[in-house]
Amino acid sequence: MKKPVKSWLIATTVASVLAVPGLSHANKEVEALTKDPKNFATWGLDYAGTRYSTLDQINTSNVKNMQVAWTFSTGMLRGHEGGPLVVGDVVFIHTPYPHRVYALDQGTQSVIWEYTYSGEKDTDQAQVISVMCCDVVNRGLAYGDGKILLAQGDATLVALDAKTGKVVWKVKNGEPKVGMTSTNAPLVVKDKVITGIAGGEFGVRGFLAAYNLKDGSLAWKKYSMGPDADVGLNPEKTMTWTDGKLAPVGKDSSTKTWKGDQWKLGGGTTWGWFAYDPQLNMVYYGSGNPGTWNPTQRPGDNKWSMSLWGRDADTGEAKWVYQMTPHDEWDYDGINEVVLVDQKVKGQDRKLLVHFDRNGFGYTLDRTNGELLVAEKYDKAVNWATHVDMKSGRPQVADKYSTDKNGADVNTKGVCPAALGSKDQQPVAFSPKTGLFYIPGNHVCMDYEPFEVEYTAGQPYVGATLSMYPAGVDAKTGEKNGSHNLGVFTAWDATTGKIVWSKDEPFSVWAGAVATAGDLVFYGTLEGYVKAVDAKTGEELYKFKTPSGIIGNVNTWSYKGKQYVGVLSGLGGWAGIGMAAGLEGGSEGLGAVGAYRSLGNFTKLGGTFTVFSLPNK
Amino acid sequence: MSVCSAQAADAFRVCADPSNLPFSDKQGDGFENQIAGLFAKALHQPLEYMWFPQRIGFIRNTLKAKQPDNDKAYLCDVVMGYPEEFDQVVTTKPYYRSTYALVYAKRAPGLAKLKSAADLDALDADSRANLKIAMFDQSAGTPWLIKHGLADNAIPYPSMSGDAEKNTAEIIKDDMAAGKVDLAVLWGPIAAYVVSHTPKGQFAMLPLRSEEGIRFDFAMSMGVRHGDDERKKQLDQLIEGKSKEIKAILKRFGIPLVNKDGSLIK
Repeated sequence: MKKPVKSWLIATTVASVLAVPGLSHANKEVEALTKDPKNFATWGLDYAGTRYSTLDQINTSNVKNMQVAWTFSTGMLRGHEGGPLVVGDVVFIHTPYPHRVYALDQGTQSVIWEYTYSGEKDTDQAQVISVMCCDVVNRGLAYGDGKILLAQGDATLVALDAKTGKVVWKVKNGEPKVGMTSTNAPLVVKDKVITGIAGGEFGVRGFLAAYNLKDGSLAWKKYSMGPDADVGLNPEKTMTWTDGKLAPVGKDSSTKTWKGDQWKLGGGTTWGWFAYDPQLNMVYYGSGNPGTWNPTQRPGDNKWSMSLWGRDADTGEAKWVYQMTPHDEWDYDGINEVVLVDQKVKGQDRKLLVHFDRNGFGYTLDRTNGELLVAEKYDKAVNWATHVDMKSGRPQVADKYSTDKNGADVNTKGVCPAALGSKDQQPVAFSPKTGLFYIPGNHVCMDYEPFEVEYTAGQPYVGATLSMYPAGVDAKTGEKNGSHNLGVFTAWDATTGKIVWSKDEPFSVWAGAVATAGDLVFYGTLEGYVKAVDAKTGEELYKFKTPSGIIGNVNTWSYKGKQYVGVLSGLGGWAGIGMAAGLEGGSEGLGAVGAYRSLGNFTKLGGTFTVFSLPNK
Repeated sequence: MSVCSAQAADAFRVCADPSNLPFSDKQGDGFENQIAGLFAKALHQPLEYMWFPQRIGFIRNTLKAKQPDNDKAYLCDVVMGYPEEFDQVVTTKPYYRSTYALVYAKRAPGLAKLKSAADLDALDADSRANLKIAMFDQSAGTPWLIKHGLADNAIPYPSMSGDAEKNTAEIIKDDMAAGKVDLAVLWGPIAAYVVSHTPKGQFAMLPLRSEEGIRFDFAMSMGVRHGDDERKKQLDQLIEGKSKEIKAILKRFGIPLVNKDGSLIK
């Protein structure tokens, strides 16, 4: 795209020619693809984000024989998040910014086409990199209507022809010069593609946007905070859980929880994942932390940062919203994925939304209306709040761990979880066979030390430093046990809010999991292992060390009758930023480095796609 | 030079923001540029820059980033301005000490006769309510504004600008000149920049003294990589030997300088 305007015009023409037949059925196409387990056509395998595959060729009895079938180097360093998309015979993989996308032929394991990012004339790559807070990661691709969608680091959204890799259209979803970047995995819903925005560190006001798949024109855009119209709130109709029941949010529910105009730099960014319920025609997601980091500066609940949302897919109007962490003081960014499942709660069939927040609570809501059903700690190390009061829906904050209440001069020690959260962006998996969720988790606590001198673009100030360290308690009971593990992998019953089993990992589990009908759950580790565990017991049945640490999602699919498991390894992201960026000391990378310093003994940088299968007989 | 290649030692290589006046810019117009020039000259080395916007990850993308084709060599060796206690780098002895200052428009209601920061407390409610006050995220000025009851109508500003070409000082200077902001609490060098780059007599500054729980004065050093002890030693010597020249440069930029106890150096 060296001449963006010219290419744009040509591309749009191509798009409209290609797009005419069956456009309004784009969702049906994706839906059909996701129902055939040979594909892996959305980030979450299906619209519900379950990451559950009905494939069972690889199972608990034979997984020990699994071996590497083929590998592919992405040619890029830095953190590789997200996972491969598989549509028919083709595997699509992506890299961090400045991006590449490869379409790989499964038959020959060779490159069909290759897309290489190039910015617009006025795009300064150093500038884009300088505003990406936590490495230059990207969470993956979406497919729909013959196009591959990529939300690029420079906040453009690009649609590539899935057959040729040529740019069909490209739109500016945000302005990198105000700190907006994109790292999210888009989702194709009906004739639109849903995407979000990153940049909370720069006070970016987060939004969810829907672009028309046909030509990239904007269909709707709804902010996380601000006036009702901006946010897509209907004061009488948008519901929220309050005082033991669902009630309308009322007028100005967002702006009245901010002092003055602070909502304009309100944060609530949307850099994770999105889910869709075709029956209800609603999209679901979580919004991130408030834009201003200093909590004393923004009294109030700061709505609707840190919230779960259910929006109408056609208009973007919010049907319901629920705030998990009012007035965030810990950076418990609420963007983690939501998973849509139908399970029985207290004997009743319910349409559920399940979400494991950075704040350490596992939430189960009725996704039709936002009713709060379950909110329990999925790692018992969590201590910033004693519990979520089910009547008000609010966390009961422990004063001892409140940086705000302790004041600017006090060390707030032993806050669990650390700002990384009990789980970060890495998506969970759900198995309908066991009825359990599988959570790749962090088991890390932190000290908030307010005496550290910091410096930002020419201004020194006394800020807070985060020191992070192992939680040192049993994740299942919360009892002190002197443990050193930084990660846990946990099976969870979302209908009761109970941990079923939990397995320690030396480092945070930063890789997305996938569950299969073979009664297996696969995940990756920061040292670089791909692991398979028994879905019922958590027993480790297989591990293999890939060339670099894994922060990507393990996916599974089949080709010519054979089941494959594939993952991008490539250390980086927030967890690996010290490694990815050559840090030796200090608090850079927003405090993530200290606890991970020993990782360098286990793995080094480099993007590789590794594909596994059972051996040929 | 224990950390760097022999070739690297041939030049004085500075990691700097290409567009961050009054500190540095690509034209060499910042006071950090001028001090870097002074040092390079003293060392008989050519002055080289590695430009990168000073944001999250500045150190990792500059001082700690290795050259792509040489795992032993880094992209640059010195950062010209970091607070003395900043732990991502090894800091030299401080070469200046400044403080935050209240920068205000003389035309704004009630501000014409401002003699000290304390006068703001005595300001009548009307003037107070009408003041357009800038409040930066993550700044020493924010708790002060809150403490003095001036945060209610404050206009929020991010401490970091996403735009690599337009930095904090430039943004606040333009907004103050345009009448969007009457009052801001700014780090000394930035305060001086606003006053000196707006029409003469329109804006004034009052350097602030640290008070209980709010620290305004900071000692500024240069930064080198952990382990680069020889370079630190070399810079320490230069800072001592060239202290007069350094002070002259800082004075030329109008930067308020303070003693260790926070008192203003007249």
